[in-house]
Amino acid sequence: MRLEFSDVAAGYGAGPPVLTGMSFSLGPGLWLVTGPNGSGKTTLLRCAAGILPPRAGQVRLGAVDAQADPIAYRWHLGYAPQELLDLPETRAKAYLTYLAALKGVRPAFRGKRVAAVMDQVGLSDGAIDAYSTGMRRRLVLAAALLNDPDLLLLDEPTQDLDPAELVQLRMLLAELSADRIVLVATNLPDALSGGASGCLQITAGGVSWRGD
Amino acid sequence: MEIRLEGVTKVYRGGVTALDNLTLTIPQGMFGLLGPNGAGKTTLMRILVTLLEPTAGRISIAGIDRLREPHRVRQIIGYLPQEFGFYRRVTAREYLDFAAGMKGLPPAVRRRQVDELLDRVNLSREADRPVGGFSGGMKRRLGIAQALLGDPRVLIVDEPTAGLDPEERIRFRNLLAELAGNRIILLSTHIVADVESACPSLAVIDGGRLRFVGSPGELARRAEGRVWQLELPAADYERLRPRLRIVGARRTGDSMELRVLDPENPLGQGRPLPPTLEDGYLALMEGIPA
Repeated sequence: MRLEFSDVAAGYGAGPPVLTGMSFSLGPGLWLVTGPNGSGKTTLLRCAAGILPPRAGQVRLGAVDAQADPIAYRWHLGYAPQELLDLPETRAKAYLTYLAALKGVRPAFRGKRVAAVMDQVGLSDGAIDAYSTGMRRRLVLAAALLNDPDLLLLDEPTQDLDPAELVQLRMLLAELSADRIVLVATNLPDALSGGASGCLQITAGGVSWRGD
Repeated sequence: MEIRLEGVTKVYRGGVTALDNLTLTIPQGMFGLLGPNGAGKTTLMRILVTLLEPTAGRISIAGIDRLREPHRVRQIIGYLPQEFGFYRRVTAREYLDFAAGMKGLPPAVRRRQVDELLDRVNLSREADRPVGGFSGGMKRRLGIAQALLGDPRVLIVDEPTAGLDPEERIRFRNLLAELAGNRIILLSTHIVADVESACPSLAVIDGGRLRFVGSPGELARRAEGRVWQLELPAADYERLRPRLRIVGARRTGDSMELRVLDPENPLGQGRPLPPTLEDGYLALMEGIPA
């Protein structure tokens, strides 16, 4: 399965374009999206997540068009945004079980799936309020993994992680990217580049370089 | 000029020990503070800047007794906390002018110092724009300008480069290095590369205790002879993974290229690699003997 951007232009409201004429095609592997703040890294991820409809062009995952068939598209998708939104005052396991239900994980598998993703990100159950920011970051990642997505989008996943947590993340990304597309927007490319298949550097809304 | 901590302990209400008998001397210049989340770094910084009282211990900052004369400490210390808010509609100049007033700078000095600092952090051109439109890097620079009001001899900065893009990070790091000439700058961070390039010495704390103090080179050398490159068939990776302390992995076709931390040559097939500061830090935290 491949993620294809064809001539994508995107922006917010009536504002100026953030992305213009962006085209690329990525197969399974770990791909980093880098570029100065404000260059459009998050916008690219939001387009890839189907949250931001492109003004022009197409975003496709395999044969599925993100805009034409959003439900089928989201079925394949895991997205961990940069902002740690207000997480509920509950325990991690209860929260993930609820999200698993929303993501359509069947009741018989939910418990097992939640345990599996918590194990993957190295998180033990506890009250979310008592979690450190690094642990919250891992909880959001666990949520993105619930449906075992073919396309995993991570926006600044290294933020708030201490050096040992960063190594765990690096190992997890190496594992996950073996058979799926993992697209990571990051301001710390050096910390993840060792395991990356390539890098999309965006400047002024276009892809300026791609190293395979 | 130095900061001296002797037996500093902080026990929060509820019994959590954030600092446990910490003894450390921080010399002039840039000094890095590394440690896992929850290690006590922010507690230590909040105690130094007088926002928090220690449960026990003695602290002197540039010769001033931190516990007996906190008001004098406040006159020589600047603090850039990890998270800080701005009023979105206030301009950079208005914000600094307000902060200078709060710090008690007389009006005549205030205006000159605000102009100088805006120039110093490279925000002169944006001085009259509302802060709400600033990038993360610009806000950090404004934050450091705020911390520099009153020309403090000691600067305490908590995770200042989080969220900055690589170029902004390097610019910010260079700015700190410039400022370090005649000051003590205590830099707490998760980004090992920042410490490596900016700090001649550093401390690692964990569980409120001092685990290491020395130069980045000394910390890296803790992992000397313990870092290996190992290539495995991808098919064997899952089976062998639990036996290896892997700190980096890359898949190339059907094989896995691993970076392994181990006192012994892993599986007898490793090729030695020179250690990085991150390797040294991980070896220390994992308790791998030096």
